[in-house]
Amino acid sequence: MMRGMGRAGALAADKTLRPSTKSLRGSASMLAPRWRLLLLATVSILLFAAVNLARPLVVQQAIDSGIVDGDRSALVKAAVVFFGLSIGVYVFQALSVYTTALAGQYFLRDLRVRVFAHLQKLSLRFFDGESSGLMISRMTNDMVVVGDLINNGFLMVVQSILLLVGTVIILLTLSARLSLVTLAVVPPLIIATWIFRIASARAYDRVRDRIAEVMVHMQETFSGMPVVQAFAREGHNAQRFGQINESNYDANVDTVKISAVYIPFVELLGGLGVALILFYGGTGVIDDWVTLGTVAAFIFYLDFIFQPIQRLSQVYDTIQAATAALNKIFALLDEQPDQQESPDAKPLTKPVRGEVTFDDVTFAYGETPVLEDVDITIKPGQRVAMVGATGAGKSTMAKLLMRFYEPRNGRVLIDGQDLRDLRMSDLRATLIMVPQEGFLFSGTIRDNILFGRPDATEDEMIAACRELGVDDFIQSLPDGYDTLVSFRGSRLSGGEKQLVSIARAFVADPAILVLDEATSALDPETEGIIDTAVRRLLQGRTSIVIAHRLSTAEHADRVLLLGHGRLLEDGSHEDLVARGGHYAALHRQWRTGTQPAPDPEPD
Amino acid sequence: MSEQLDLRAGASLILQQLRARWRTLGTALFFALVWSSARVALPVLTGKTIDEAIGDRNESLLLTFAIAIVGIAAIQGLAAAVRRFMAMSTSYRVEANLRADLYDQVNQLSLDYHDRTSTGQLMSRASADLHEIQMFAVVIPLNTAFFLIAVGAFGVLLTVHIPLALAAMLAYPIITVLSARFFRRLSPASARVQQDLADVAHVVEENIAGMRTVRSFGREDDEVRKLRAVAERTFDDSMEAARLRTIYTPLFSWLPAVSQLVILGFGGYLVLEGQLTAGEFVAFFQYLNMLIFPVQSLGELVPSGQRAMTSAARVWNVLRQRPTVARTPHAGSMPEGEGDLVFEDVQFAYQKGYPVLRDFNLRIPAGASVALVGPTGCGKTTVAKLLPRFYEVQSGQVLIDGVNVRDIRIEDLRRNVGLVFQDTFLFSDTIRNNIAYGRVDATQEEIEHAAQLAQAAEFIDELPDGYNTVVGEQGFSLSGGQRQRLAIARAILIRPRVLILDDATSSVDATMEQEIRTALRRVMEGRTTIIISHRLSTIALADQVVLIDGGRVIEVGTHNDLLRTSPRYAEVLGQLVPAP
Repeated sequence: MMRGMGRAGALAADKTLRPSTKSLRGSASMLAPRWRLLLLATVSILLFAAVNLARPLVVQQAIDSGIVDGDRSALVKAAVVFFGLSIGVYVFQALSVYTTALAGQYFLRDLRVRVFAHLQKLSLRFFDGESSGLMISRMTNDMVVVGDLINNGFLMVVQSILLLVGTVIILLTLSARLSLVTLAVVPPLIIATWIFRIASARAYDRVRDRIAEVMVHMQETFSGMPVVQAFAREGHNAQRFGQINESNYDANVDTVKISAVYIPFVELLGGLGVALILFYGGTGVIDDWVTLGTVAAFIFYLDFIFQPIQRLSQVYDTIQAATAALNKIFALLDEQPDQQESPDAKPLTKPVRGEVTFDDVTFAYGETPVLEDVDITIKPGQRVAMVGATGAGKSTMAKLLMRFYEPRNGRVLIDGQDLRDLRMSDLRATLIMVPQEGFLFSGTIRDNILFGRPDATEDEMIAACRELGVDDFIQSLPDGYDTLVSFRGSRLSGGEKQLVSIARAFVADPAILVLDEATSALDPETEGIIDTAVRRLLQGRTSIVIAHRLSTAEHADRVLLLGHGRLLEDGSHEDLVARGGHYAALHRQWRTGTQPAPDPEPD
Repeated sequence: MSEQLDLRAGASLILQQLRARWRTLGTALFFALVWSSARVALPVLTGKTIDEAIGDRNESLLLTFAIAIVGIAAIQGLAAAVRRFMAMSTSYRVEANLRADLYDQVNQLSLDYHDRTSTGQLMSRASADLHEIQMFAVVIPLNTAFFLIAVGAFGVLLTVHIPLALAAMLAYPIITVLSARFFRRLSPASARVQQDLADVAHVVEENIAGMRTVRSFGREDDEVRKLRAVAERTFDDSMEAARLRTIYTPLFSWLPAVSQLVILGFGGYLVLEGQLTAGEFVAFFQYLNMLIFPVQSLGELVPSGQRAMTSAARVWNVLRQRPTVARTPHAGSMPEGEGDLVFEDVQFAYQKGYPVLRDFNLRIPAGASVALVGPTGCGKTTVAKLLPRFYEVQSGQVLIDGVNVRDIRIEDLRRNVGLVFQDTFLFSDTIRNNIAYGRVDATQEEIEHAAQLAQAAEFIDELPDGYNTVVGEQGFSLSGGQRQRLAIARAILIRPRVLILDDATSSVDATMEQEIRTALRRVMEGRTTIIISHRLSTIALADQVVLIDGGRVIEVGTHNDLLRTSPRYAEVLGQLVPAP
């Protein structure tokens, strides 16, 4: 919770009104092709402001030339002009609303697609742990904030500024003397609004923190309900939540208090403005340095001063947040992908034999090397088991082979060709990795199994699943292959997800297969069945299996034991056991661990 | 997700909340009335100033009127402050109270309810739906004030000149009707946009979570295509909402402009005819300007009320539930004993017609440790869940030290059963508080002792802030084995009579499993323990093995006995058993 609040605080501090060069240049380049639309939008906004500003002037004319002078034709003329203006109000407002929305939505849509497409090219280190949350936030929260500005803020900002500037100019032209008195209310209004904005921004920050606390607490309690009830925490929780909930209420009431001071002040200022205009303007009418129409126009224009200032303060935060969001989004777009396909990438020589070579490979995620001088050649069709403690570098080797990362030193080769010189599409078609998580996408089981080869026929799919022994399990689901799964709230257990993801890999039919603890969540009975099937299916393919259950190693052609980023032992299971080194010790430990000590049966 | 919504019940839930706060609401309404009167009075004063002071060139009267205007503006401001404070704080009170009720209710509901209800669903009740109700609670006094202003202004105008008042005000009810229509049409469109945004988020989260799989299968382009489709849909739906705004919002400026035109032409003519004064002419304009926003806002009242009722109905659907595991009225405290457990003819089904346990009979003597073994879905986890009474047996009984668990106070019962779950749930809190989760008043010594027993003390000491390190979703990330050991420490700190380890070692590798096993061996000493596991090594910790299949006990014996005598046991253990 502390950290969550810290992060919210960091976000609050990240406010800026200054768009970065990157985001200005980026936005401009995305908007440029739609210059016609933008021009139309600009023109309609300008005209809308103009017709709005002209209306009180017409009323003023009607009063001075028509009513006061008793000139009927002047009144008619004013009414006709006013009618024309009202049509203008409709047309230009409609146009400006539509064109700005259109331009904004084009911008948002293109930005979404562009950022997402960019993510697909970025190095995988951007998607590890905490930074993956940041990536999600760029595409969701930050985009929504930008969308808020487009939907609610942008048009209002431009209009408000135009109205404000236009009004001041008109008032000064109408009567400089009267405007100086009238505009006397503006500085206190601006100061009060500024103070209010700062105070309420602070109060709302507090509300955000408190409501975040409320939400985090509820979310955790609700999803941890079995633990809550197992430890009979309901009473204590009610008490604790009561405090959090009340402090959120208090924070909300604080915002109300602030506005309860500001709003009366503004209403009072408004009254003061009218009184000033009437009193000073009234004496002016009596002393004949101003007309009655002008005094009336001043009263009408007063709204054009008050409303824009208040509106600008309302959208200030939106602008600030959107600017910060755009800066972050364009900074992300500026990240260069690490591993790009080389421009003269060659196709992989067909048919693929499936030889894998790590040639003196060194790799580090940060400072400390994870792999050091690893030299291994795996022959085509060889079944290799990779074993070693957590952090030994097994998964890293698999990731280098997938070219998720580039080695710092040395080369990774398939059939003697450096991965860096290969076309990405060839590499993906040749090599498939089944990760431990058994990740499923939202959709049907069929969609998921066909993920790697969408053009596979139904028969091919079912045949592969039968051979693997997962067909029965899938058929037993409520809708068989059409059962819907989702990446989060899936009804499938971890083991069942792994089954589907193994099937997915086999349907894709790669020459080289990497299984990264792909069966760890299966119960022993199922794992036994799957292991046998997998062994059969692996025949003729090069395979690298990472497993902590050494039963896998017992059946492999070759065992690689890694430790602290180095290859410690390399040989067949029997050889390594006979050698009596680390592997033999590990194997012995595993055997005794899984087998009851006093087992009388001969091994 | 289709859910039966009782709008009546929703409405009465809101009413009941408002009625309970009638005093503050009444005050808010009173000040709304004061505010409205002041606002209506201001243009009248302006008109009079123009006619009587300026027109008649009376400078002293001019000052009087100017002061009166400031005075009334002050009253208007103060009334606005009180109205706003009362109305807003009441609405937040309603929200906070309902949220607390909802929270307590969710805590009380039994696990069968939680099994079929997602956290997301409950969260949206407690946030979006309550927010909708809060907004409506604010809107009531505000719109009452607006309505009063509209009526008051119309009344004043009528006294000035009836035909002009009618002609000028004609557009305003139309604005209210149009505005109601606008909000009604806009709200499904915005809901669609919200849904689209949720879909975008879903595609992004899924893509990022599954990035390895996407890259591994070279499906990046398809993913971009998928996102492009939702982005297009978001675009279309946003533009649909924009089209509604394009049609309606200019109307809300144009119709008042037409009214002003009526005053300019008709009113101007009346002034020339001497039937209307110049001051009244200006006052008419002021009224029309003043009313634009209130009449629009009135249109929002109906759709807002409808949304609030729907939301309240959803909240009611949670509040009306009753926990299936009911508190027994005269339940007693824990009986004396060491944890002797009996399952007697227990029948249980999560869903009618799909029994999970049938005629389940098992006795576990005090202090014994027993491993429940069986294929997935055989009911072994269910056995563990019936003991702390997470669910109610359909027939038969579960006894602890000779007393039916139903006759023991739930809190007492659960404080005596320590549970370690398969997926260790840690709260975003300090390690200390996580271990003390079941006994908030535990001392630091007791907590450290529990951590030591659970083999967790060593790694905790190495953490940056030791026992004060914040863990959980938002905190320091621990390995699976470390989380498990914290869960064990948490379970033993409550000094339970019975310890249940539900697949506690399933998601850790061999080295970690060994660490955990060492921890378990120590904490199991002298305690009745039920172990559920797939792993032979963990099963081996128990004195006895109970083989369960099809919801019944098939065999009971030591591991080695069963290996020799029961072919089914060997089958269930599968591959890990070396061939004889």
